[in-house]
Amino acid sequence: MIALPLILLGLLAAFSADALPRQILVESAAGIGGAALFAAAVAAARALTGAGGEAR
Amino acid sequence: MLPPAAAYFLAAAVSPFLPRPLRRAVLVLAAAAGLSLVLLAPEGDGWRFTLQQGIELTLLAVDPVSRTVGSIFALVGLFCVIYTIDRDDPMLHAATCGYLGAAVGLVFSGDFFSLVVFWELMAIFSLLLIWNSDISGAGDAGMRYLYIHVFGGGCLIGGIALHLASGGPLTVGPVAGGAAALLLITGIGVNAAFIPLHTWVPDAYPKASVWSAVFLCILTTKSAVYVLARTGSGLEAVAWMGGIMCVYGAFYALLQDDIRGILSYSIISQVGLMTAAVGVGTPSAIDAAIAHLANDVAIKALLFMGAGAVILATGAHRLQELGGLARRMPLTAACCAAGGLAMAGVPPFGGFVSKGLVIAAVGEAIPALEILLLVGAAGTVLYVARFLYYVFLAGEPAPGPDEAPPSMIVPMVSLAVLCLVLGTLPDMVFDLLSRAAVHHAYAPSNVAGAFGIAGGALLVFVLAGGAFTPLGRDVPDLDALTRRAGAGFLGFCTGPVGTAADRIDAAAGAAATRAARFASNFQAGVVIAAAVLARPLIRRLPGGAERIRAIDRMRRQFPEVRAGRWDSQSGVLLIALMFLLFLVVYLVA
Repeated sequence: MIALPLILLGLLAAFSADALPRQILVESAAGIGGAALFAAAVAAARALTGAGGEAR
Repeated sequence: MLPPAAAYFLAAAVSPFLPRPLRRAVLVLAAAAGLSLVLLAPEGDGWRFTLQQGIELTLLAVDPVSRTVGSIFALVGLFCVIYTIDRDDPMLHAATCGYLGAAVGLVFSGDFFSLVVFWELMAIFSLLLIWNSDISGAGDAGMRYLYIHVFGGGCLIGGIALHLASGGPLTVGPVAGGAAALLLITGIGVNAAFIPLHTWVPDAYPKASVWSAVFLCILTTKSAVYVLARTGSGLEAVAWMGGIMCVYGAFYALLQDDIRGILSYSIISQVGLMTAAVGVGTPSAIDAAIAHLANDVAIKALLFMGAGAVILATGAHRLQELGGLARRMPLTAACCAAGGLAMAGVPPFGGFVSKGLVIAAVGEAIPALEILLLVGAAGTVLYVARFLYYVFLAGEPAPGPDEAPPSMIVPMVSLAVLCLVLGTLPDMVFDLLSRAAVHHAYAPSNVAGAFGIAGGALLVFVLAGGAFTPLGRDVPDLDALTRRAGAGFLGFCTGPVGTAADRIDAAAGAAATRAARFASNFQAGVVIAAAVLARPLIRRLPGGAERIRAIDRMRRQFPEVRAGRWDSQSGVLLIALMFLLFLVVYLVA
């Protein structure tokens, strides 16, 4: 689910001609990529330690 | 002009003996006087005096960096004093003033001797603040805090001693490489929460009282970054440590359920950004680090104040127990949102300017490290979103009193405004930031980039929300290992080592009893012992049987030789034997 916007942003950035939109796309991709890494690592840590949780 | 620290120390000494209304006035006046002294102190070295030949102390070394850090400590310290003013606790007020005085004194120390004295005073006053808490576990956390800071202080003093012994100047400045720098940076690293020396932050700060925590979160780690910038900048290993701290702190902040635990790991993450810039060591990087330090002091004080107000209003401190508080505490929620946006680096708050400058300065020197910091920045957005969402937005608020009292709201609103001012007028606030640097921070690409990172990370927060829900319990950090190792060591000491010690003790006791019996009549004892030993030989001598009977008569005459009495005579004998043994060893060696 997270990979989809990341790929879309990456493609848009690659084909963008202007610097500023390209910068926005690259930084957004960085934000999504970095946050996705955290999401995966946190989910793994929660599963490994049995820290549990609740949905609201 | 007086050193600013004097105002705080005077208040710390006097305030416990004053009646409550007068004490409140003295505390606010002292904090305001401290701030005025910082702002009005003339540039250059002042309050210099000679301790003894060759040791010249400087208590007021003012330059743009020390003034920036001293000003933010004093200004935010004033807000923190106001936050605690309704609390009737003389010990709290004395310790907070002492802690502020030590931190401001450290910042303006011009020599290593004064720096060490203020460094240790900070440790003492902060420990008192941790112990001044009703929260379960504060005592043990304080002891662990004491151990790690004794270690850190020892390393710092050792590093400075080696620096001075190798001919380095007493004036605070860069320490040359080698063992001196290693020890010094390790000592600073304890206070700056370098990984793996960081565990005291999330251990102690959530267990401190609501009032103590607002001081603790702004002074110790930030003053360590300041000392690092003065003495150990420009080391690539330090820069990488900063990058690791930035990501590690953000990761663990996402694994906390205690709201002040989240903020404690956030301290590590943000101090990591400063450390990375100090490690790069270029003038622009150092300026960016100090600017981020100033911003983070305001942000952390604001968020810890908000967390404290929430804890006091609800009696709860875990995300699982909180929610929907924006309806009950709208001002607190708005202030925390301002602090959170500033920490996430969203324009036009102060964190945006300084974080952008830090990442740009680091990226120029070490591009790979810039990627690590950008990942950490995305993590910051995530834990800020998680904190704000689960405390103020999600769920229904529990019944209870509404908004925090004015003594708490006023400093929170003031700090929220400060976060905005630090972002909109940074070159007017920081002595050390040039207008060019600020314009660079607000370049369209940087503004767009900041919104891009924040937007991207928020998207992940929404899409992967299950990973960020409140936890049943906090995920253990490295201190779980050290505490288990410590428990194992204690078990080893009380188990096998204790049993062996008991056996040695029993054997020594039996030997001492025999020695006592022997020595209770030393002369007869020696003769009887010799005779008993020589009995087989004596029996073979002419008239041996008669001699044996004489020995037996002698043993009957001196029954006390076997009586087992432990008297002073035998003690003297044992001591004499010890001396004899020592003499033998001495002569042989």
